[in-house]
Amino acid sequence: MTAAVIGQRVSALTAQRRRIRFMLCGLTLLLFLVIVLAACCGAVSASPAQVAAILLQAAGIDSPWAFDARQQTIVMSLRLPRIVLGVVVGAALAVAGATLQGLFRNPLADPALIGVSSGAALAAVGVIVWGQGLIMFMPVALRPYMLPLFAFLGGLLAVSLVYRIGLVNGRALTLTMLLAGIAINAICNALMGLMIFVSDDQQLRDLTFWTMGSLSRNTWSLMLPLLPFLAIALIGLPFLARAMNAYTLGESEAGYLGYDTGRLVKIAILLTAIAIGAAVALTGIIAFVGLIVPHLMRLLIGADHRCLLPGSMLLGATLTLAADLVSRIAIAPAELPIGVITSCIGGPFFLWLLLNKRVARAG
Amino acid sequence: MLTAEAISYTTAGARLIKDISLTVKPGEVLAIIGPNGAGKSTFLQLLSGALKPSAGQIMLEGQELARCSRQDYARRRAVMSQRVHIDFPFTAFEVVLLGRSPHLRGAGNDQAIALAAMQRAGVAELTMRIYATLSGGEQQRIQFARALTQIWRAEPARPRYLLLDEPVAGMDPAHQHSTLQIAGQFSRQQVGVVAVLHDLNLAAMYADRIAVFHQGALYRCGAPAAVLTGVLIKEVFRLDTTLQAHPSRNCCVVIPTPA
Repeated sequence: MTAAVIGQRVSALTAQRRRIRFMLCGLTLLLFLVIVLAACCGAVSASPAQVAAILLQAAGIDSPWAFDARQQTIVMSLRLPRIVLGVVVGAALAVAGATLQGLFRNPLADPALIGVSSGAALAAVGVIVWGQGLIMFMPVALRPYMLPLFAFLGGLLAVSLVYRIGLVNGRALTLTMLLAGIAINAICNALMGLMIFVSDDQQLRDLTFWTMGSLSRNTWSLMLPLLPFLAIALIGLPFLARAMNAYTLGESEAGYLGYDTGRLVKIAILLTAIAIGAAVALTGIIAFVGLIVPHLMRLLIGADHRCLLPGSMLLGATLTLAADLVSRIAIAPAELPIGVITSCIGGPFFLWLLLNKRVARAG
Repeated sequence: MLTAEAISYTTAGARLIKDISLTVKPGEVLAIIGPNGAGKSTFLQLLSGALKPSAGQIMLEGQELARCSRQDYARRRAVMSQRVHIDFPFTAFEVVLLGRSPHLRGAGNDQAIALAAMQRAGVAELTMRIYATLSGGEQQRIQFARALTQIWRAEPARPRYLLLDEPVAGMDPAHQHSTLQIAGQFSRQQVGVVAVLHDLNLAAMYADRIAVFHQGALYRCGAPAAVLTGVLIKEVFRLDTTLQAHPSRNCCVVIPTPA
């Protein structure tokens, strides 16, 4: 091969890598911008300088910008936890979606598909409708955690059921798991519909929280117990990137390349289940983030999971936070469920994606 | 040497492989031929370690293959499967680079090897193309380049193996020949090549030895001239043929003469 040809290929590769790095930097910047917006906007507004001053004071540093006590309370105890929640949950949903799509080698896979989100929501709905009696048996200190706890356990239960069904002679069959997930999903949704049918008005309003999602349960005390789970998944999943790349060639091909695919499937399912279970427990089902974000990222930076997984986290966090911003200022002082916003963006986008694909197939 | 010692494979009550003993040596191209369902692909999967034999064992350089770690085996044998479908927008280069997964000796080195393998397989022009948009034959050539990338060189020098399952299916005639020529050149660098082939003429032209599979058993194995006879082809494939000498090469040409 001539040196000129090699040089040409290498420079094309370098250009591609530079473009990906540029995109990731841009996304980081965008996330930062949305965070600033989310901290400043709302019923009580604060300038970016004031927000900075409030944060600096919390760290014990004085600054020249003045702010009042009301602004301080709202930023520190309402907006900041909400931002953390949005960023972490958005990132978790998106990276879980990207992982599951890779694992099932199906670009249309979504966290809802392995049954974990509907399992979590079903458990939560069950507690809302029938949980009053249960609450009596819980220690007082644990009562606020009952809902997220049950949601988390419900999600893990659903996914372990799906995994068990997909496990044939010690081998995880992803297609069987996918189908089992769809079935478990349908069963959970049917049971949820049944419970919604027998619930009263107040319960109904609580139920929309789980079926439509919301970042409004944003007190530190509720979030902190689940944040470590989300952190484990967010830190752990990118380590699977190389193996996931090989896995897109197919299970046997990944095996020929020296990967233990059984272990990969097990770890990936466990981490995504933890991530989604914890996310749903905190915010209910926020639709479409896990489906669309990985797609958008593949369009922007390609399919290499080493870039796709971190990129999906950034974009997932950005989109979730932006959707939450819209949901809280669109009809202030009331709040739209965030799932309405994400579905409004997600549905049409998904259709566009399908139509595009159809055109590409036909062409 | 990669040796199958009296291996059998049974699944769901069916004996797909019956007591086959076969050795592939570094430096040779071994073609496996046989009718559909003769167990050729299953045998290749057994050799590649994807399936475990129900009886008998596979030996790698005199050691049981089962004792060899997945990754260590991945460093010295590459497998090209019949058809690899990818749903995600990986570029051809990214797919080929995956062949370096078991090695990972620094990004620069691995990329240089992947580019060299693509050049060798004649797919350098496709470097930045999206794999899923390529034609079937082009995808096969990319997979061939990926297999070459995986065993490009051995460090330290030791025998390597290239297992090809119908490598030329879907390729145009020119690429069918160039692919097998490259496999032949590789075999001369301490690589043992096993190729499942359907085209008897390709097997006659490029194989050093031919193994004929029939109903899950090894029917015959030997030099092409000794194995490829009208009688054998009639018995195994149930096809009438006439054999003639190749006009310019030292091999025979199989001409089907169906009734």
